[in-house]
Amino acid sequence: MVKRIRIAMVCLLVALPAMGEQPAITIGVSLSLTGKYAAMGDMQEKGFRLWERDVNAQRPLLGRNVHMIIRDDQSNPDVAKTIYAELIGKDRVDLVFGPYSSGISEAILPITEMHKYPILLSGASADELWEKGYRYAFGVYTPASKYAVGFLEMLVTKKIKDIAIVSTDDAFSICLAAGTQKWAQKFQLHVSLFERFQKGTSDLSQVASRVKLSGAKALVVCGHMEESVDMRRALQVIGWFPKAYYASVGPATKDFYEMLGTDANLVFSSSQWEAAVGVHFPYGKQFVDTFRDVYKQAPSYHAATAYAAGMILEEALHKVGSLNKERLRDTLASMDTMTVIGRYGVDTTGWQMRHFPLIIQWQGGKRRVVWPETLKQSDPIINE
Amino acid sequence: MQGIRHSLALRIAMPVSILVLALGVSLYFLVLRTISGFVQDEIGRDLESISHRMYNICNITFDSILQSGRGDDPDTLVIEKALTLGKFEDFFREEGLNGLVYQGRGKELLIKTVLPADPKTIMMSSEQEGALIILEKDAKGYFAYHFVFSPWDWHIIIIKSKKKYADLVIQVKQAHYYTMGLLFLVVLLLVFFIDKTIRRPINAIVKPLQNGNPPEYMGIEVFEFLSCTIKDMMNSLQQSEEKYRSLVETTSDFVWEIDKQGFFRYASPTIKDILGYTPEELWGKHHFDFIPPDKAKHMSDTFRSIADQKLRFERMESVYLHKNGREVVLETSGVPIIDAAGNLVGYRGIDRDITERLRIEEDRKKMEYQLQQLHKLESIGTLAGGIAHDFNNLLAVIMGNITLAQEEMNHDGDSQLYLANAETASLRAQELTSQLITFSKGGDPILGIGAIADLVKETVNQEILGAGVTCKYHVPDNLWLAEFDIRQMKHVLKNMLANAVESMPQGGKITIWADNYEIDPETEKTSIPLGQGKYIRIHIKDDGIGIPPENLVKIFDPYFTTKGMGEQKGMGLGLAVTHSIIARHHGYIAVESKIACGTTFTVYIPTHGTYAQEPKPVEPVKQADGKARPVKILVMDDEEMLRTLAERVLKRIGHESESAKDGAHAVQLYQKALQSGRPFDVVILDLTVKGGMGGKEAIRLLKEIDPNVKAIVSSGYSNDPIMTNYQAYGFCMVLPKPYNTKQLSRAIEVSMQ
Repeated sequence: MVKRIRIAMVCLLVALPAMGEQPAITIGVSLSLTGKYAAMGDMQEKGFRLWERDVNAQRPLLGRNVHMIIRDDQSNPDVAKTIYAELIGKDRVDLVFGPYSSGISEAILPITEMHKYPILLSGASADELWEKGYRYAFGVYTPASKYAVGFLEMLVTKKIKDIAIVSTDDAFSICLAAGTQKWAQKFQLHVSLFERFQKGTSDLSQVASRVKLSGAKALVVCGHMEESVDMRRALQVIGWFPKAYYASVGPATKDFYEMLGTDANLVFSSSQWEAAVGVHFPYGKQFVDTFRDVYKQAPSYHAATAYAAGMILEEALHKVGSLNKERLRDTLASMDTMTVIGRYGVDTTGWQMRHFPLIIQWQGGKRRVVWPETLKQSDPIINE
Repeated sequence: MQGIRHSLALRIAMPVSILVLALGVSLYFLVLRTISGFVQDEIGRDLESISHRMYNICNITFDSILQSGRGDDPDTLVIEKALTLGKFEDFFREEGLNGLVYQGRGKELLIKTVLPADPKTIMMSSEQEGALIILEKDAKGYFAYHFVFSPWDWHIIIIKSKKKYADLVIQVKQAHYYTMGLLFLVVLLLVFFIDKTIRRPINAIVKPLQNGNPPEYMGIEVFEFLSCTIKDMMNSLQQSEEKYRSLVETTSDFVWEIDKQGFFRYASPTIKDILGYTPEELWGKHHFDFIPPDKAKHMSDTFRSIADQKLRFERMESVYLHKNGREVVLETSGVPIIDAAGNLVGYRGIDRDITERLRIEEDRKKMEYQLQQLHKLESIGTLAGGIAHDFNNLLAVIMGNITLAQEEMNHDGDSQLYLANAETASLRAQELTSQLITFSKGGDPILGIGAIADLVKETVNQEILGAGVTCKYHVPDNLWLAEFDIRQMKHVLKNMLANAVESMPQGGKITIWADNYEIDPETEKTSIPLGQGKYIRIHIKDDGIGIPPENLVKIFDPYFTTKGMGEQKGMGLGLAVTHSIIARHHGYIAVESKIACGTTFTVYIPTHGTYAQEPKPVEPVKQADGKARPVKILVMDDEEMLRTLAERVLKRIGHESESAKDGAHAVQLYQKALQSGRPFDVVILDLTVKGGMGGKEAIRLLKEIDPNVKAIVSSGYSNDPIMTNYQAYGFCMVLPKPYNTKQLSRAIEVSMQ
């Protein structure tokens, strides 16, 4: 026994200097650390850094450390393009992750595609990203078209038949609106209003009025944080609130409540991940605990999707056994694995199809999972 | 192109390539058809498999609803159906499919985008459940498969792009390409193999052959054998060709080959000797180009009829033109050259120059004819000659008695006239006898050297006098001396002149000229059948009526005449005798005549080429009173009448004579006279004595007795060698019978000199 321990120690002593000599795997990413997506960008940065920390501490990639190069694109697609061009062309990073938002992702994908860099999009879900024929782009979480499925199902159970769907004109929101409309048909709901407004329109009272006039009993707002907040305020302005108000993205963060206060209550939204549910997934609890230890705050799904992207890459490299990008691409295209946010699996276009979102509702100043039925923290509350 | 079309490589490689390619193409289409069917079946099975999976999605959902006890809850049904549609959507996406889901056939539940056609159209076209439908849109193909989930009455159509099977199709196509490539490779290898094992060896054999060299291929056994065989054959052929070439080119005959149109393709060098052309000058020329134009038509017709029947021909006589314009007669034999298809491609043959042979034959024929004529005449002459001796003796008696009678009878009255007529008739009889004898052996000329020019002049003056014609002649003084029988030659001249005169009944002009003529066959080709030597040539030309061609060849025939019978006419012996005389003088007589233009006789008389000297005058044996000097003469003749007559005549002209009946008697008398001291001055000996010693034996004995004896030989046989060559036998003069007083007197005078 002693002899075996001695041999193992000798091997370790021999291996350690060799490992230390190998350069770290550099992974570049551009995030919206400032600008309109700063809140989501911040969470994503924390998610990536936490993953970097965990990998380097616990499970080095291919026996090498990971070095994340994270740059701020200021929520600007053009800046993001420059960053990715530099990361690949100048810094010659080994790998890249995707930026936050579908719009910025759409801007940088031609670059990564041109250089044949496989890229996991942990901050984008617009369906159209996977309809352009890119070979190296892979979704990490549920595409936009399926965000509101749980909400619609819930409407059926609550006997709410008439809904209004409004959206901004960004790629993500458009996809979300179109997908929601199709799903409404599947659930045999009546779409009383389907309208699009310009992103940046802060006063949505007129839109809200048309929703009211349409006879809709439920409202789905497809947009980001600003639109979800503005619509809630517009409803307040016109003095009308539907039986169910759903807004994408924004309500999934605590900032939403901080901005609206108690008006945030009863607002439904989709979340790609919630700590309450995520703890049931592999590494889920460890992720949440570590995140809280490190950042002294709870992670949003944006942080979780970033961490999940790291896990997917980790698993794929483990399967490939090298940094060969083409083999990595093929592995990502066919891999079926579990992450902190759930299951990963894409179709032939890279469109995420295994992951499912959660429906949350602010209830009493807290985000509560109300769908799916088996994972809900509480029953959804309908405005009567 | 023609050249490529007939290349060996193409001929060998093409069928093999076509065969293999045809096989490949057949295989290709067979495989394609099989694969296509297989692909369609595979697609059908694939879509059917997909439909089962989708059916299971519905089925599991449906079962879970039933098992949850909420089968009658409409909200649950709505939710589960919606979620099932969502699963379908995910399934379509995952599988890369398009699809439709309809409630019944009217209510649209799910339409996956990028459809190949209007959804309702697809729905209507897919009436048959479980059938594979092929759709086309924008040149893209799709397969559709329709199935129904009955519990919910969902009509589900799966649509899959053909592109999804592109890999399979590509694999099949790749298999095709590989197959085609393999076939192509097989063809290449086959061609390479054929090229190496067949074409190259054949080329190695053929190329030297094309250059006319024997092949030297070594390698593949069968081709090596072929190469050696060809080489041996070529060597054998070359030897054979050299042998035949040497034969062809050394033979005196002309060997030729012409093509179907008659143009020369080969001519042996002998043509230079025959026609004066080189073989190169004949190449490309038509053989009719060398035939006289007046004969070419006939030759062309003849040759065409032969060629049309592809016949061979032998010894066909043709007249060709020598390069110098002379006509050459060729004897041609030829065989047709027939190709493998039986077509005539030309003629090959041999020509022999028979010009000289024909000339010789013609001359021979002439000679034969002449000989024949001569024999004819000789037979007549022999007959005549047989009786000539006696006849001449009789004539001599008659003529002598007439002479005596004329001298003794009164010169008044008609008696002298009658005697003169009798003498003339006797002379004519003598002449006739002489002509007949000329045809017999006794007709040989009694040759003497003399100037024939004098004879010509003398005869012309005698013959044309009073004939009503003029004569112009040119006989140069420097003519050579000729050796001829003066009497016979005079006869010749008389006959020719007589013919000339008779051919101009209305009068005309006779032109006579003579010259020295020398024949040298080495330097001159002549049709005159005379040997090399010197001749005197005498031409006698008239401008009379001429002789028709058909008669021209007969004029020397005995008894041929166009004149009536009678005096001076109709005997038909004149020219025949003329011809005979000239022949016996070893000369030649030719005649040319043209109707209404006249006739020319040309006589060639042999000569030694010497010139005449001044002849010594013959002094007659006369006394001072003018009478002949008395001479003692011994006459020997077996004919008593002639002896008696001779004594009377000699006595009348003043000579003393005795007679003997034969040679022995004459010798006896001559010896007796010699011993008596009064020898005979002249002895006249008959050559032929019946039953006794003739003149020939008698002169021999007399010469023994008296070497200086002067003897005259007399005979009716003028063709006897002794008569023509009397001096060799010891005679000093000859006296042919019959003779008259004058002739007797002159013979005595000459012998006395």
